[in-house]
Amino acid sequence: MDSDREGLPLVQSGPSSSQYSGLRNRSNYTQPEPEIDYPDNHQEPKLLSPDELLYRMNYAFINHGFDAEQQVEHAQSNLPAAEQDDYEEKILDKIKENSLPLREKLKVIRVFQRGSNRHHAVKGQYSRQGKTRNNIASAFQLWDGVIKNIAAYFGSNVASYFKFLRILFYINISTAFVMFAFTTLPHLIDTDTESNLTITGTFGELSDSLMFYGAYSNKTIHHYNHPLAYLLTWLAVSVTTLVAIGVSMNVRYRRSKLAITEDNYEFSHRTFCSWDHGITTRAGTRDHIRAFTMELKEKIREDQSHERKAWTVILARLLGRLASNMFVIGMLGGSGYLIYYVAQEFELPKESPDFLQKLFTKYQLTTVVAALKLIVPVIFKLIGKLEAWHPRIEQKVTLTRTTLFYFASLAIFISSLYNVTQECLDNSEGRPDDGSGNINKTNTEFCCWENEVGEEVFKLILVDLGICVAVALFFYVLKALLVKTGQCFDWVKLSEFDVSSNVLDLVYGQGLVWLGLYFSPVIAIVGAIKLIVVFYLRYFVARVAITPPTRVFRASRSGNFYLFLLLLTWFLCILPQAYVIIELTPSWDCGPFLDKKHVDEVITNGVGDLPDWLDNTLSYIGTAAVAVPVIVLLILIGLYYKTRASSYSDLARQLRNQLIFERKVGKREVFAIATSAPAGSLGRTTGVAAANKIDEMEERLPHYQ
Amino acid sequence: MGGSQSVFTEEELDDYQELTYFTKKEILHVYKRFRELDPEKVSEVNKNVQLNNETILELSELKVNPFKDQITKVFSSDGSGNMTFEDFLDMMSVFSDNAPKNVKVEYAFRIYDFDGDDMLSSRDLKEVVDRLTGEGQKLGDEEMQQLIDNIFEEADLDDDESLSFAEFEHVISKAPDFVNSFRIRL
Repeated sequence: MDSDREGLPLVQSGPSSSQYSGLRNRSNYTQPEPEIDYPDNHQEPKLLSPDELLYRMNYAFINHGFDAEQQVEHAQSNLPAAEQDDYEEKILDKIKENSLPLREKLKVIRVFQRGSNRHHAVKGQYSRQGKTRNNIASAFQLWDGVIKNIAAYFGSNVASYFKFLRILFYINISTAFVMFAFTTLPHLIDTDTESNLTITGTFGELSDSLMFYGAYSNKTIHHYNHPLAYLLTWLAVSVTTLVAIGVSMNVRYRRSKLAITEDNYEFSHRTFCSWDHGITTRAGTRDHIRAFTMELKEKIREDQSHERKAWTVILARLLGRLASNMFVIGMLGGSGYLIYYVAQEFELPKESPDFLQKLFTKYQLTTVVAALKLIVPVIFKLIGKLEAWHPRIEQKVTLTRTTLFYFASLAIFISSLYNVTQECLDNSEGRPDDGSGNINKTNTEFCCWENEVGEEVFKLILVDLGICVAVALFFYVLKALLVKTGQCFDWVKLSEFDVSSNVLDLVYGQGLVWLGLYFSPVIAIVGAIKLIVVFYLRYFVARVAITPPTRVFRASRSGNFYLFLLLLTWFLCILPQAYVIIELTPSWDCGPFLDKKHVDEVITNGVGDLPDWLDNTLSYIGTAAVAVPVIVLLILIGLYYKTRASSYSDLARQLRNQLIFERKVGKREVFAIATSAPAGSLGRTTGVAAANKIDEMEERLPHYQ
Repeated sequence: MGGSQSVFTEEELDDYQELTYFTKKEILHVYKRFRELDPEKVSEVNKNVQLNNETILELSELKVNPFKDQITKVFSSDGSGNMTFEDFLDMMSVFSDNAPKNVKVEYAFRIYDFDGDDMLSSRDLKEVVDRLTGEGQKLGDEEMQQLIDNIFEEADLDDDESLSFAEFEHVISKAPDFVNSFRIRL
């Protein structure tokens, strides 16, 4: 390796020894080139500062003559004792992030250890942060082995789906734990809370239990204010979830280093970054190689074909896409209307058999929502394929449409639940006399609308889970059986693992859990159990029936996008409940708030009356006179930051161009001068004299291209 | 795991923990895997013995990696692919989750540099792409040339038909996926 050194041009790394220092000083192009210590340079190594030493250690792999141990020894022996400790500390602080090989690092450490026989233990000087970071990170992580297994076959893209699932599981478990500890547990402990209400609902005994809102007491027992606890726990959990998601999005975003989003590096990234070293099985490698090759060839071919397409083709495509977009909007509207209609008015004709009637009335809303969720995304996927987009755009388009659909269906579902509550309140038997004296008390029924809403959400979650299991077993596994036993030959191929639609499923499920949390504190546990089932189900199906995705290269930072979707879902699902708390009257027959007109009275009663001035201020803040300017101000701030960001990216682009220019021009100059200047002719000249000399020589140079 | 605790002194484990991106538990796990490669040769007395390249390549995580020979070559002390435990630990540490990006980038560069001249020339690139596409489906000459030209167009800032480390680092640091894919878990 050493013999190669002599033959290489000087241009690889700046000239270093003192003879050439003039040239180096003259150069105002700051290139990250380390100084070379030639092996036959018998001068004593210069005394390097800690930063300089660390820098050189980082580039030691290019700098073949560099000997870290020798440098350190030399430094330690030449420094006064007081500074030695300082030096040592600085080096040890940063040595972990350095890319020097382990054996070299060990040598450096040994030098320090020998030296510090004089006093204090070396251990105390090691960087503390590294230690704690390591220990926390390697704490017990659930399902690690399984995820590693998946990564071995399918790569890290698919593994990221399972990691996302694990995060949701953690969220659910912590939510469940907190809710249980503060609302359900006190109930179980205090026997005074047994109410003598019997609540009828779709689940029979379960409806009556602590699973749903209705069974919670509204009294204050042993100084534990149950209703207040109920409300506050829910509030605390929701806000914590929001903060957690926000913080992790922020952390991820920072880490992904706001890179220039121009896609100029497609070929380089594909070549250097697409091999997934986590794949450790032969089958996985084979699939990955095949997918990669296909994608690469496609990309090359695409680059080659610059033919303009005939304008008729373009026109036809445009019209086709317009039509399909209108169809998509039509479908969204249609499914929204369908859900609403079924929730309101649909009744089976009287002739249908009894059991069907009963079943249907219980499950009508749920079935419709779940069925639509099953069918519509598939249709969108088909449409996406037919539209002949570029594959990456196709994925984004389908993803957007499916997301819109999920949000729309959740929104309509929520609003149809609202109608349930209105109906129920109107017929409620516990309704207090409102002074007009003409309440018709004959048609009243027991009304506990929160329970009904909670039950609907619970039903939806169960049906969702059921469909997921059914589809997995009957569709994927059957398909795999057919393919493997060779029945259908080529028509039917194994499906791919579609990461984005699976992630959307998870986000939707989590949204349902959040929706139901106010009405049924135990629903988070149900959510957690559902996630466990889904995890193992998907793992099983993936191993048995699915091939890895054929799009190996994903250029998008989808990780953050999914967190963003989660955030949006949080807003969509928690805000209606905030509305419930503030505006709607709680049912009069059951639950912790049965004797209040508005739920937030619990807080005001609990906390006591606000002093007048505070009260006035707060109500003033709520009015439009304050809200509108605040909103306008927020928008302006947002715009300001956006403009700043785009001006920074402009600056970055300019700097990059300058860098390119200087590298090209600067290198040529240096190379040309170096090859033409006889050794040592520049001597120790510095500054203007050297510049003049170089200019002289440049004029004599042949033109270098 | 309790048994192998006596293999390393506290001091050695401390040193390893401070210099690599592993905790003590993980280091012992790595040692266990190392020993499994050749239990006879690696014993408590002789823990820093050098194992043959062929033996190292038997590790299940490396076996199917297209770059396995380059990986062992880069991390071995003498460039031959024979690794001691410290080299092996170094390798697993760089490939672990906690290794910082700059370290991974540097080693990626060395792995891709097949001829060892500290630059990625078109020959190196051709070899990389050949390994990535596997035996059966090599790219045609024209396609390969076009690919290499495109890569140079994107990354080669000084037009010398090869990528220096600075240019490589400049390109790779923009890749969102690099850290995730440059990872092996034992």
